Amino acid sequence: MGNDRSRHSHRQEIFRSVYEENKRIEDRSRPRRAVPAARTNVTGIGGVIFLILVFVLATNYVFQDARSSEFDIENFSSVPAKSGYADVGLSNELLIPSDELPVADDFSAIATAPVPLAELFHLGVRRIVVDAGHGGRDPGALGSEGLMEKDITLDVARRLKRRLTEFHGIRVDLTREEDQTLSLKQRAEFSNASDADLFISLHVNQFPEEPVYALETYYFGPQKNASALQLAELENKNSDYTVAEFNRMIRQIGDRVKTEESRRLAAHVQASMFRNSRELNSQVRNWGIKTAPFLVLVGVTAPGILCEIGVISNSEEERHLRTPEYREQLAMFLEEGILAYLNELSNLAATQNGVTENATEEKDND
Amino acid sequence: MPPKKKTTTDTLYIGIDLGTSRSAIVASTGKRQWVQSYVGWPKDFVAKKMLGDNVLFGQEALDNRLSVHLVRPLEQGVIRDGTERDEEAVRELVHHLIEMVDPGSSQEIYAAVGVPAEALRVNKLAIRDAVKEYADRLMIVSEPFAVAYGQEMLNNALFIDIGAGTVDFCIMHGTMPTEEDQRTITTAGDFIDAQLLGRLQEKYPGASFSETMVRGFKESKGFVGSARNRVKVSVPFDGVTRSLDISSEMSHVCESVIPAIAETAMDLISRYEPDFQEDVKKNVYLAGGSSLIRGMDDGIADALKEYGSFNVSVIEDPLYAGAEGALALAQDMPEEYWVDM
Repeated sequence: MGNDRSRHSHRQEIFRSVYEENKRIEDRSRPRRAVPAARTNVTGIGGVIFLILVFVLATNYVFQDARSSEFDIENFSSVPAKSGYADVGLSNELLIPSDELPVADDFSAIATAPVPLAELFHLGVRRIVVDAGHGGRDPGALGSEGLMEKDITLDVARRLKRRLTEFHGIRVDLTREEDQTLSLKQRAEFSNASDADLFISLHVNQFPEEPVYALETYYFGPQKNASALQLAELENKNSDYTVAEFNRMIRQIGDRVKTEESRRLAAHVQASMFRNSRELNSQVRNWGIKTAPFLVLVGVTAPGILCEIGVISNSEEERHLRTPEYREQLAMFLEEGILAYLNELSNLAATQNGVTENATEEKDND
Repeated sequence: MPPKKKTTTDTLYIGIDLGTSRSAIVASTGKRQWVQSYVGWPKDFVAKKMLGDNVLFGQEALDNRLSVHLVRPLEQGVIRDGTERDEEAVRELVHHLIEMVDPGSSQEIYAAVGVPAEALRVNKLAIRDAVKEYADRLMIVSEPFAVAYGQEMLNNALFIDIGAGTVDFCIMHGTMPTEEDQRTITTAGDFIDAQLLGRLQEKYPGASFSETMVRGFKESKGFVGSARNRVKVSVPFDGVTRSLDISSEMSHVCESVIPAIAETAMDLISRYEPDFQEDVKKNVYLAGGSSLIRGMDDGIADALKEYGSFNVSVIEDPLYAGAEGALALAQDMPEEYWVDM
């Protein structure tokens, strides 16, 4: 009898949970998608014109002047972008006015807005290099209870590698598999020698003077922000680059494909990190995606981002970072962001194939 | 005592298991059907005229794969986010499944749909949108949970659903499993197929193998452990059909998924209290198509023995277990919850 009652209670609990979960799903609105919507109506000559237009617009993007590269999601709704438009790389009619920019939850709309050059030239992703920041003699940032940035980055990097490899069959190499000292140059050379298609460097922030908990992601590109420069200065220690090498690398900042892909990857990863972290801690602040001259990003030939996945100087966050469960969750959030980026690449490839097929079919029918 | 199942003539309750490889439907009328999760659209008007249909499903789509755009919409356990064709394929597949159980024109359809755990995590909205068109009331649950519910093992049990695209793990501890109670890995049936194809192509470069062919080999002759009989298959070889002994390759690839399954199972179990861990070890259930590989249960128990004594068994009727579980949930769900679902 007691067992029956307990079972009945379990069932009632389960029914309620199933109901609530489904209600949650239903209540969420779907994000807007700019590119796939274009697919269904493009056929025949229209399709060919569309493809030409895509090429012209993309070419225009390659040669246009640099725009503001800072992308602070948190402040988007209140502070207009310098040009009045988000930097999405298309002509003005297609640009999104800054007052319509999405918040982090709807970030995919921005990230999918341009026609990505990587897609235009059929560039794919086969291998990802994950860089666990610091290591060996360089502990990185330190928590008040002795936690070291180098240990967190290595553990999360290993977890991220396992998740991407086991769950998605993506080849992932780590710049370091253990607690070892590596210069930034060695990390970049490792990535380049691995023919990496994406480079993801993991770091943990510290702000000893204030108990802030914020997430931010940097990507390859010219700097615009003084605080980003300060952080870059810190992270650029142990670079091992000569001045000549540095100057050569700096010239690569004009590499548009790399910049654009880096920014899109950063957008997806930051959106995922913030959205998921906010569910765990409503105090987390979204400092968005930014550019800064991190040498480790400049040195790699692949599109690259540097993720600050937590703040070790925040004592509550430090306690969380100590637990394997939390570090696994961070890896999962990173995984989700990376997959969103990869899915976008493959979706756009499918869309373009669809356009081509439709155009061909229409021609056949004629 | 489980609640009495609802069966009214005005309402058709259905349970659907939307799988990577196979999808099944069970209705409250007792009708059961399954189809391979392939959807194919004729490539052009010639193919459409030849095939006589706007869309093909399952084996028919596979048989005509040269004439159709073939889609397996839940490849790797998820709808690729935003891929219209995959979402459309899920819609078509669900519609087709529902048609297979002949709903009455005036009947309201109350559907419970089990989907791969990863799809539930990544594509909740897309799945819901794809299905809701054909159901008056709809709920979506993770597939391993649906299986557990159908088996009435809601407490102290680990369900491992070894599907084609994913292996889904789900710990039941008396409540609705959360994300933390579930894991998904992709070393599943498709992984075995890819490994087998690669090994056979490497060993017999003159032979003609295809993915469909090696999947058939695995489903009919796959095994873990020692073989009762040699596994021999007939293969076109430089234009002539020859019999090849693929026992060692078959054994090797089928066993290759076990370490990841054992490791993930232990990783999941070890997060719970020690007493609960011991209870769970006695109730490990395998579901999904690849659980039917002969000896898989013993192989997994063997891989886990360094962590203690495990009782691993394959559930009965694994092809329909997810759909039956979803149907049971649909019928048991109190009406007040259905009202606004």
